[in-house]
Amino acid sequence: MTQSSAGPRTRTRGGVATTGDDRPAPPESPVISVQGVTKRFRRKGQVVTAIQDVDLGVASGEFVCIVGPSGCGKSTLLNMSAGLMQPSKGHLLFEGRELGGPNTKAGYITQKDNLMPWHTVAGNIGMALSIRKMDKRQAGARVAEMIEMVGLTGFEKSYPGELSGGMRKRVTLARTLAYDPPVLLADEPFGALDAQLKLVMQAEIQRIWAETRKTILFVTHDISEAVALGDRVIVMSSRPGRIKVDRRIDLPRPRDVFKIRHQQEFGDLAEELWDVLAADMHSGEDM
Amino acid sequence: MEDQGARSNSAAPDEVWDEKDLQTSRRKDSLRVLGWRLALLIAVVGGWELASGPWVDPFYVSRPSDILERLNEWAFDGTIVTNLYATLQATLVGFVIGGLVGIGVGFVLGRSPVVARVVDPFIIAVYSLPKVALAPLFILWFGIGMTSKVVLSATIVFFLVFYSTYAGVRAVDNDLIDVVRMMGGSRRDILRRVVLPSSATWIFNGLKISVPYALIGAVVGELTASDRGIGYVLKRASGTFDTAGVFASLVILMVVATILNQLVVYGERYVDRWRSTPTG
Repeated sequence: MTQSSAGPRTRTRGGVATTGDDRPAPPESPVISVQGVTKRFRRKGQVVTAIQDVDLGVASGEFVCIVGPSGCGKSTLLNMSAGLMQPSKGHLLFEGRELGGPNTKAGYITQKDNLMPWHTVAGNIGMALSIRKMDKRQAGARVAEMIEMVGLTGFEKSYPGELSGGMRKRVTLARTLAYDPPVLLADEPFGALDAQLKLVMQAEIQRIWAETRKTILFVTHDISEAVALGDRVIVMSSRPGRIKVDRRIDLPRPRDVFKIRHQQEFGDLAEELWDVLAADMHSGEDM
Repeated sequence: MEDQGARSNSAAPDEVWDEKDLQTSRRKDSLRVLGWRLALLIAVVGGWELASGPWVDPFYVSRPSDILERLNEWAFDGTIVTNLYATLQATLVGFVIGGLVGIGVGFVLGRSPVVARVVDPFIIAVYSLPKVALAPLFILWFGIGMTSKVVLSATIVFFLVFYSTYAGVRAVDNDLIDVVRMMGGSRRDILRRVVLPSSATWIFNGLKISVPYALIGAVVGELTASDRGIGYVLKRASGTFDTAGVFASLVILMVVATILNQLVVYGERYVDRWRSTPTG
């Protein structure tokens, strides 16, 4: 690795306006800064260390993917970045401050879709807008826009219970993007989708990221997904989770998620990361 | 509560149903059921009418024609209207007060586990008490008027609604609460947007099962000591060995209870509409 992990972005940026603040975050002040974080849980009387001494910085506008064996604390890391959990040791800073509670600047796409079953698709997607007291007509337009983006036109009035797993996942994505949080935390968001839809959604999230310049922390178990999307790929070890490799992915942007898989560099990177990950697979509990 | 999740797998795939055929056969079915019900009713009521006198002493069982006559009489002399009004009023007011307090306390304890743990044994103790046994106490405290009936009815309803609300609030998915918190929702948002709708089914279930109990509370109160209400009419008829009057009162209560329960069913359909899966 020749470049520093939180180095300046080389990607050219279009003139797309974001939600107001222009944030040329200097590299020394990452949006998410994980400093020597350890997280322990008490489970059935035993203390389980989910992650140990993790240091990680995610710069503004960066797309960082995390891969690792099951139970390596990937979700724990996201939960802490979301402000839903506090580190047992160390510090997790968001925009330079410790999170005392839920991180309202981050949108969190959890593995479970967590939709409100009593709301329709439109109701779910518009929920944050209603909480944030957006003007009704404006919110309606925004919801319609999101529904179209995730390809759920015609399902506005359906309830989550009537949708397939993949459709629910797309509602979750739309719900999170609707209120335009500057940071996205995604925990295997496309894990439940079929192969084709997965590629479509990968292309979509890449497009959204390029347009809105969100900071994305993306957990996946799919190395090719991580390489196709990320500026960096972090490989974690099995429990207790530590960072084994922090690899910069210098594939040119914009990337075509459909074709990139056939490129030589892509294959090399995937193989390199796979070797790192595979060393830990056998010690993982449920792999 | 009943699981509505088991969606009807009607029309087995190996059988091809003509939609029209299906409809006519369904209608035929329900007509047949209706016919049998009518036959059963006629058999029971007719048997009763015929048996009363030759085989069974009418003093004990009266007879349907007498009961009908008594109902007719009461309908015209105002007995039904005045007393039913009193009973329904006590039922309704008791139901509303008991329900509201039950929902409120259920919410508070459901959202504050520590307090819930502290008061748990006390609630269990009072809950275990047969609530109708409180009737004499309430009459001592509140007199033979409306208030004692309302309080008894409200007490019974309170416990039922409180318990299901409490269970419903405890069952709320914390992940959904986190979703709202991350959206920047306040405590009020969490209550209004997650806890309330999520526990609505439970609350409604509590309200539903307590409707007949609200009526029981009012009637038991009236039976214990009162000067009006269907319970009072029932007790008076019994006290004067008027068997037809006793049965007439019971018929009134039965009809009232059935109507109340039916109203609950309609209400539930409305509240739970998101659960139903539209066919097709």
